[in-house]
Amino acid sequence: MRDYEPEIRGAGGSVAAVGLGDVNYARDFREQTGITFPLLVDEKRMAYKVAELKHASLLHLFRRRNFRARNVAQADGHRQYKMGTDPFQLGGAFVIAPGNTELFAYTSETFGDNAPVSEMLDVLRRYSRISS
Amino acid sequence: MTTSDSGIASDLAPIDLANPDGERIMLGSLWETEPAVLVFLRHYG
Repeated sequence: MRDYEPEIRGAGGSVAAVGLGDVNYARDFREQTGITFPLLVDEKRMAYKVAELKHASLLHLFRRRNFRARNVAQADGHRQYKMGTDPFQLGGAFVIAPGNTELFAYTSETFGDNAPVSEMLDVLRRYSRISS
Repeated sequence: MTTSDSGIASDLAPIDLANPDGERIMLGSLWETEPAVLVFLRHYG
C-alpha cells in the first residue's frame, strides 16, 4: 500500500494500516519499510473482529491463486517480513469518510486476494468531487 | 457511489490501538476530517 500512498493522497484521502502482533513487531516493520503512514497494532484482534475479516485454512496455501499471487508479489519486489501472530488471518480494506461513512469495503477471501486499489481511488475521487 | 453511515465503520471508530511508539490512536480520528483508506494487513510486508 505504501506504493500507492501518493495517489491516495492525490485523490483526497489518507492511508493507515492495522496489523496483528505487538508494538515491537510493528516498530521493526516500520523501520525496515520506511512507511510514514500510521501503523497500528491490534494486539487483542478487536478491530479485525469488528471488521468481520476472514480466516484461511491450510487448504488455501495450496491453491493455485496463492502461488500466482506470491510470484507476482516477488516479481514486483515485495517481500514478506514476518508473519503475524495468526498466519491464517486474512486482511481487508475499507475507505471511510467523515461521519463514519463507509465508501468501500473489501474482505479478502484467500491469500493474495487484495483490495483493488483502482476501485479505492475511484471512490475517493468521487467523494472528493461530491464534497467539494 | 454507495455509502453507508452505520455498521462496521461506526463500530470501528471508537476502537483505540497502539502505534509503534506506544501511543494510542482512536480509529475514528483517522477519518475525522478526510476519507481514510484503512488496510488490515495479513502480515507485515
